[in-house]
Amino acid sequence: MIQGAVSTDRPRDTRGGYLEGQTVPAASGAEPSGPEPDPGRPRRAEGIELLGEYQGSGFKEPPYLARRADGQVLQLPRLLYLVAENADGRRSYEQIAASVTEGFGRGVSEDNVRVLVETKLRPLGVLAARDGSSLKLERPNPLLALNFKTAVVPRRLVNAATTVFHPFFWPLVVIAAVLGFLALDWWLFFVHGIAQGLRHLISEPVFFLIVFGLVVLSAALHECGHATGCRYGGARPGVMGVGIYLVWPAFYTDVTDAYRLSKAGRLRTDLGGVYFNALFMLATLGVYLLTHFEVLIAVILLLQFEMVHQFLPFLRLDGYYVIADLTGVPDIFARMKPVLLSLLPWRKPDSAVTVLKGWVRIVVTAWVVFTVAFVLYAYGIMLLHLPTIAGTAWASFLGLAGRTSASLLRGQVATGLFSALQLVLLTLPVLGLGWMLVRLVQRLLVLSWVRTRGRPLHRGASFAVMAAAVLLLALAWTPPRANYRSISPHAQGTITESLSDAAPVFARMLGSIGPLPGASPAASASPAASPSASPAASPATSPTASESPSPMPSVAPSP
Amino acid sequence: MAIRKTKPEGQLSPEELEAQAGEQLPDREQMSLVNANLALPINAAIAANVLSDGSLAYANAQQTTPIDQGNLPSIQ
Repeated sequence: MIQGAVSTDRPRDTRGGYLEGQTVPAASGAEPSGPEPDPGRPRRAEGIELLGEYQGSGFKEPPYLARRADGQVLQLPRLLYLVAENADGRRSYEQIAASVTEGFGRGVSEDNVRVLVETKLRPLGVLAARDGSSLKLERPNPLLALNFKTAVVPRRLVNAATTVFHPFFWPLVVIAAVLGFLALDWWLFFVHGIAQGLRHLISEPVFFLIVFGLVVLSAALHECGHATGCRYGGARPGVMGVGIYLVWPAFYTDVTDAYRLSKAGRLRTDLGGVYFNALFMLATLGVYLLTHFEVLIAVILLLQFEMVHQFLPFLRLDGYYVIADLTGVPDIFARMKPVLLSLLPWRKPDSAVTVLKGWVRIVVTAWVVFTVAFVLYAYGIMLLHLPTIAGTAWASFLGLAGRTSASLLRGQVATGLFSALQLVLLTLPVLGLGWMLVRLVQRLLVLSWVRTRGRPLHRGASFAVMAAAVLLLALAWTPPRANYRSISPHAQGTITESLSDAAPVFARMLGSIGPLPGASPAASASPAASPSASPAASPATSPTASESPSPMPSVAPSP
Repeated sequence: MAIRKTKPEGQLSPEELEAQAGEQLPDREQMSLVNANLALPINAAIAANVLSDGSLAYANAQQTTPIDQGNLPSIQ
């Protein structure tokens, strides 16, 4: 008998019992005694883990989870899970069918089990192949995922760190920290203020290096927060590492195992990062109260902005995972296409949408609509304004390179190091942007070719659309429309400005003559609506930052 | 007369079997962006007028030095 969501973080099997062991051995089944495994009988793949029900799910029928030896987590309907649970290499197809019928509550024949084994469970790598081997399957490359990632901290060290940080998740400590953080914000914004912290920061370049170091440290602690939250609930965090997310350098922690946790456990994992940012701010405040070093106030302010960024729900940041876990839909990004197609009044809603509970379907649909609008706008404007972004980045690069060498020659080491750091942080997003565009083109070409196989009309239409997009970009990227100079001091970067600037390109493509009213040269220098709204906002896309005479450059893009 | 397809008792139909689909879930890699965009809070502060000379932050500055105003040189 399958039970519903439970309050514990521990996983359950289809009978409602706790899965004490982490791995269900390939040759062992629900009943340990019995005949020896028979190679002709279905058996689970080596190292497969049956994790139990996905708890707090947003599905009408809760799905079940399994994890392959390569770490890939699989979401399975109850019937497939029951078959997998019974496929121990000892039971025959007939015996499995009898056991599944009992658990499923409906008649399931021996032939049914054969079909499910051959067409569903073996291709997914849940069951071993006929010869007993485990399939080596390619891992999916999901939309908007982390790239160029490399593991830095091994799992064992991550576990050690979570042991150290474990007490920070004790309920009383959490309550005290949250209250302390609220008090910190009240004190910062209503009593002390931020002016003097920023004034000190501007006055001395070496302070920027200190601030940058503390921001990086806080980001590393953010990851410890995710890992500790994951382990506190009973799951096993994986490695920590670094990578490039779209265009930004990023730290990451593999908390894939958190899928097995309850909704509360998953949310604890999601919020553990910003919780540790809050703890870091409280510690910084403590040092400030001892030293009255005003620059620390600027650090706290900057980290507050970082916290807000993390809750951006349209990319795979903490905000996205919070929404996914609140709704109980583990991969909302994968449901974008079915949700959008289901919005068409003449189409029957896709089963990927109808399986969701009513309120979950509403939330997921709203998320999809806003995300598509955000991504299309941000990427569209970024592509149209690529010349300005390139011009601004190049101008900044030359300026920073000159400043770095001049400062070092004059013996101003701190200023020189800070400029060099900015050079690195400027180069990384530009490289990331280039890589992102290459991947986008590759993906579109492959998808269009594969998905339209045997359908010449569809293939022709999809390639015609891509050709139109290429033409549009060619017009946007070639003079006189293209502006390869850096951002104008008059550019505002408003949404209306970016849209009015895009209009002439469309008009030109459609054969209209001359720019549309309102498309001024200044407007054409607008790279994006807002640095915080565009994933491609380069370090110098903030007009204030690039034109400011103060030593206050934007050292990294803002998501 | 159309012949109705019936499935044997105690058996799922091909459509029901086909509807049984497993999915590969993406890895959960929870990130923190290394984003030391110092201009952002500073611009926000400027926008909030906390750094300008005429802002409320300095409006209560006290004048403590006597002002010696006149068109004759002061007598030492």
